[in-house]
Amino acid sequence: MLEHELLKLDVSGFTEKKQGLTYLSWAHAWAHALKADPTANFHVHTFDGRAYMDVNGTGIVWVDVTMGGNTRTCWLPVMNHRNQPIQNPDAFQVNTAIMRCLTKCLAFFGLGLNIYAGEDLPLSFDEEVKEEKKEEKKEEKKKVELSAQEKDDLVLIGDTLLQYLEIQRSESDLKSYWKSNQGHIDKIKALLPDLYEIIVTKFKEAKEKVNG
Amino acid sequence: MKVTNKFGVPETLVTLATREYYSKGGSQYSVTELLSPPRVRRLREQYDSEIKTDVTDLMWSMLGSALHVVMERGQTDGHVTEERIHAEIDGVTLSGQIDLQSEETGGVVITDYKFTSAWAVMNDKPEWEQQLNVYKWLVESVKRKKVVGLRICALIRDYSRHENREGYPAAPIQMIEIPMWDSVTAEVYVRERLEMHRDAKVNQDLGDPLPDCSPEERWQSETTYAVKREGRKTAIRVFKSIDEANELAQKEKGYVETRPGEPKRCTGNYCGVADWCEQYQREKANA
Repeated sequence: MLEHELLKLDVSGFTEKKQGLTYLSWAHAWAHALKADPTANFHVHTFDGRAYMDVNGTGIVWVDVTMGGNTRTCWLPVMNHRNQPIQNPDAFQVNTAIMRCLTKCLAFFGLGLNIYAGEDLPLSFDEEVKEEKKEEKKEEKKKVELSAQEKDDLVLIGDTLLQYLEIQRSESDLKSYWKSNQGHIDKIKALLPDLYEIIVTKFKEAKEKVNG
Repeated sequence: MKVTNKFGVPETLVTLATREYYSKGGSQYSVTELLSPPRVRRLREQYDSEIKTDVTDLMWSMLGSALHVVMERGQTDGHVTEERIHAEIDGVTLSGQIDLQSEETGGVVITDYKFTSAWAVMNDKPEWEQQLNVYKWLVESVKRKKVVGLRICALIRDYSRHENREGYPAAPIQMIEIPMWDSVTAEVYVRERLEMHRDAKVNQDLGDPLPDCSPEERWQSETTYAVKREGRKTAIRVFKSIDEANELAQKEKGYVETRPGEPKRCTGNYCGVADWCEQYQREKANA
């Protein structure tokens, strides 16, 4: 029954046209699968610890999808953008093939079968890349978003740096002092640019002072 | 760095060149950076987003990357290819990616592949010795393995089988043995280079002038003196000494033409930052 429902499902709104071919992203395909069966699951076959079966240096990935109590198995060569098998595929290429294979296997259950024009039709990996990029951006944002405690620590480090500025007796002392705190200073520059400007200004003033 | 395409080469190459832009594997300094002049490194960091390089100028670098990929496919027992080694020194992370480490009798032999000219193979290249000895130091201090040999595998891009000059390479691929430093010499060298870079950074941060590049770092060519005669296009002879040139000019009833040496790295903008370099711009203005 599940297949019947999935066959009727219109996923055309989640496809993209590229070079005359219709692409369906694995993320949307899997989202529809989970909607149809929240217990849906998939399994990637391994061969001597590798996620692909070696065929004269090229690889075929195998994926099982279990939905509605049925398991179906699907295979797909690890291919380049021209749909030719790749010799000694790397991790990224194998991962791409697995996600394409998952989408293909879902088509065996009927999902997106109407747009799946043939075995050699590539299914989009673009969405996954976009998602990964979004995640990376989030991570980057996280990195620059300081917690209150981290900010307090950096401000304290900055204050302490300035506090001991007075005891530096020469330009060489000042530069050595800066150099030995370079790691903290770089962090302040990246995360608290206003404080960094104050520190630079104070160091420059101190330099002028010691140089008379 | 922006990769331009002035000669309309396929966009695939531009994409590749942009993607191949040098990685230093998350370290603060790569060995290449450590060996580069501190002025160049600082300016490259400061003007990174403004530096433009044409894809055609990256051809050899792209072929170098292609070679690394090909070498990885030729995996051989006892050979470690393309390993990046990180070391902590004076609170700084230094890393180097070694093309090939092969287990041989008594220890490891380090090999670095270079696409280079026949001229380079026939002349001393101190930077090869420095680079490989820093790699040796990395392998010995991080992996605790004894290094028993350093080699450059030179792939000669302008090789001609018809050349028979003395010292000309016998084949388009030439193995060159590099002299090895002891570990103390190498460590002192690494520390000195690091200090130079750290000092340059302090200067840059505090708005002080960056250290000038040395004549060697600028690939400064020597000033020469050509003895010429009216009515003859080519020089009779070119001298490094003006006295010798004058002597011949008198004898030949000719005249001496001074050919000033030039910092080829700067004039050809091989550093990529000549436009922003106060040292070079100052010299150009005074010339």
